[in-house]
Amino acid sequence: MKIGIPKALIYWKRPYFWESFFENLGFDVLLSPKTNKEIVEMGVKASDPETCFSVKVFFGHLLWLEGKCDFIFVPRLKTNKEKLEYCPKFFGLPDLAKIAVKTKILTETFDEIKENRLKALERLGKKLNKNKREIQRATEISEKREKEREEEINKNFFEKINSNKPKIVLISHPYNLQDEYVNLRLEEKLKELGAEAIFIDEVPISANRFTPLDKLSNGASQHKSAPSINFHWEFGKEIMEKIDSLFLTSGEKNFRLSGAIEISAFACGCDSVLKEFVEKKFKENKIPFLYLIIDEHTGEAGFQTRLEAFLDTLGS
Amino acid sequence: MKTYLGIDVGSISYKFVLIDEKNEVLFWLYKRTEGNPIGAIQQGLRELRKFIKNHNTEIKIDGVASTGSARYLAGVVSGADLIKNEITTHARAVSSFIPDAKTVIEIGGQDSKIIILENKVAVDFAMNLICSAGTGAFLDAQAYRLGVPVEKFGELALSSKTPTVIGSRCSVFAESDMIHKQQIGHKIEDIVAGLCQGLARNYLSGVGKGKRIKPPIIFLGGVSENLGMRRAFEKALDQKIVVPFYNTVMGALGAALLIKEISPAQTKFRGFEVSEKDIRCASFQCRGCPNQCEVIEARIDGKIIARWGDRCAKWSNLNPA
Repeated sequence: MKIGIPKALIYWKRPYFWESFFENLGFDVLLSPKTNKEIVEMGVKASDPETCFSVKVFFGHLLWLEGKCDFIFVPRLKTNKEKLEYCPKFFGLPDLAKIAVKTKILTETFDEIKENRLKALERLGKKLNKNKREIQRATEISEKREKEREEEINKNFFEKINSNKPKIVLISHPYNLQDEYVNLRLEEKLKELGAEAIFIDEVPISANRFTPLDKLSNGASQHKSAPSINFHWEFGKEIMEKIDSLFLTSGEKNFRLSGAIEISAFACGCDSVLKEFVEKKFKENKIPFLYLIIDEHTGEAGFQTRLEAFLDTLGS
Repeated sequence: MKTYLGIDVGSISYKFVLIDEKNEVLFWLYKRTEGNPIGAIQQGLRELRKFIKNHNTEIKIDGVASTGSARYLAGVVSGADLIKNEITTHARAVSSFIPDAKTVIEIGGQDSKIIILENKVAVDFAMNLICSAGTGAFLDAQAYRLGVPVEKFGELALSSKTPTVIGSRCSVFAESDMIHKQQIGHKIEDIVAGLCQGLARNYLSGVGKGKRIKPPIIFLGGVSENLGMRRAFEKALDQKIVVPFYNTVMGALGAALLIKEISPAQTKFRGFEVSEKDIRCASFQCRGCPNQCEVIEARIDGKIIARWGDRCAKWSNLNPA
């Protein structure tokens, strides 16, 4: 049996976990390819015009998988381990997916306010005729794989901060950052302009994360700490924590961050909340900040102009 | 005599500025592109050649820089030594002519920008994001619709005593609101003045959002010619607005200054002959992968001189070095 996974949106919340999970249960996994123009066009045509660009891209991937596998996996992500809510647009994805494609949708609700994640995974396994032991094993292997990947990414991060080029941190949700079609090859463009791009998801959450920043006695706490708000949203907390961690590391390892670029998908409700915090944080720490919006009409030319100008302002 | 040329090709207009080694402007022009950027560049070069012939045959061009939204095209056609974005070129010109400037408001044909300067250096900027409401192209269209020459638009706005409130969040709605206000009997000058105020408000809440707008405030770009817009900004900001000489050609001037600083040993300028050549651009869709990039190909007298627009550089790599 073949299970299709759209390589978009929620996939990037835990990349590699799901492929490994299903493969270890003995299924064939079909991932949709990297986002391309065809996929985007399909998605834009099929989606509600008012929804965000990232959801449109997701539907393109979903449609690409239609008819190519027995099931398409679309989990319903509601809350995470820390009991923080995912974007409301994620809640409705499996329902909308059922209308959009003829291929059967495999889904399960992950709501960790109500129950442990493993419980939901077991229920998902039941649908696939797999017992608890098999599910546990597949979960363990996949989580281990996830961890290995995380370590690799962290290593990558420490290499990047040692480079001599101006370092620019890119802030967005993983599904925008990891998808080079969606972010208009931002990393490559920055490289061409002579800068090093650090993805916010590469930043390891500091070991000191539970120490309030102002209580740290070393020089690392010189930066202004985040406005202490209790985040309701999963994405906001993670991004803000990583930004804090980045400032901490820059103090500890003595590297200079030259600038920050936040990318937002057009019509993203979450970002209308998050942007205010992110921008404030960088401005308070006197780090140049650029905000870019992407959508299906975004011209690369306008993007390029802004990036070039941004780097010129840093160089001076 | 050593000189440096800046070419700024935008969506609505094109500008040429020629400076000498002392940053003196020898020649400048501001004209409409009229939907033909290549023709515009050629026309500009013809006029410059005429100027040189009539005024100073000693002039030799030692460097060319292009800027504006058509800077790549302009760079390829003219053989520019430097292709620079319009934010950097504007900042460069302002800091050289008005050293104490702190804020630059620039509104062109389709873009509007704000640049924040500290000690002659651009430290922050913003451009209109995905909406171009309130830029020159919109004012142009409205002037045409009202039967007012765009050059008279500002004067008309100044004659209003009670500007009408026009909703200007979006140019589509602004237009329908203007039509509605006409239909219920508002005077045309009040509508025009109201539109200017609305556009200034829209600019400040969109492009200027979160920026500390400190004086001296410099207003540039085609729209800065509009007296109504100047007054609207002065009112909205409660500050004096400075519109310097060369307000419409600052980008080209900045480009010329930048290339003068670099002063290339040997310019790549194609020479004035290029204005008489057959220059064509054509586009095709690459079928090499699902990205289906639109590739642009530029030819001078049938010979391919450049290609761009492909994501993977498969076509642009064929460029002759």
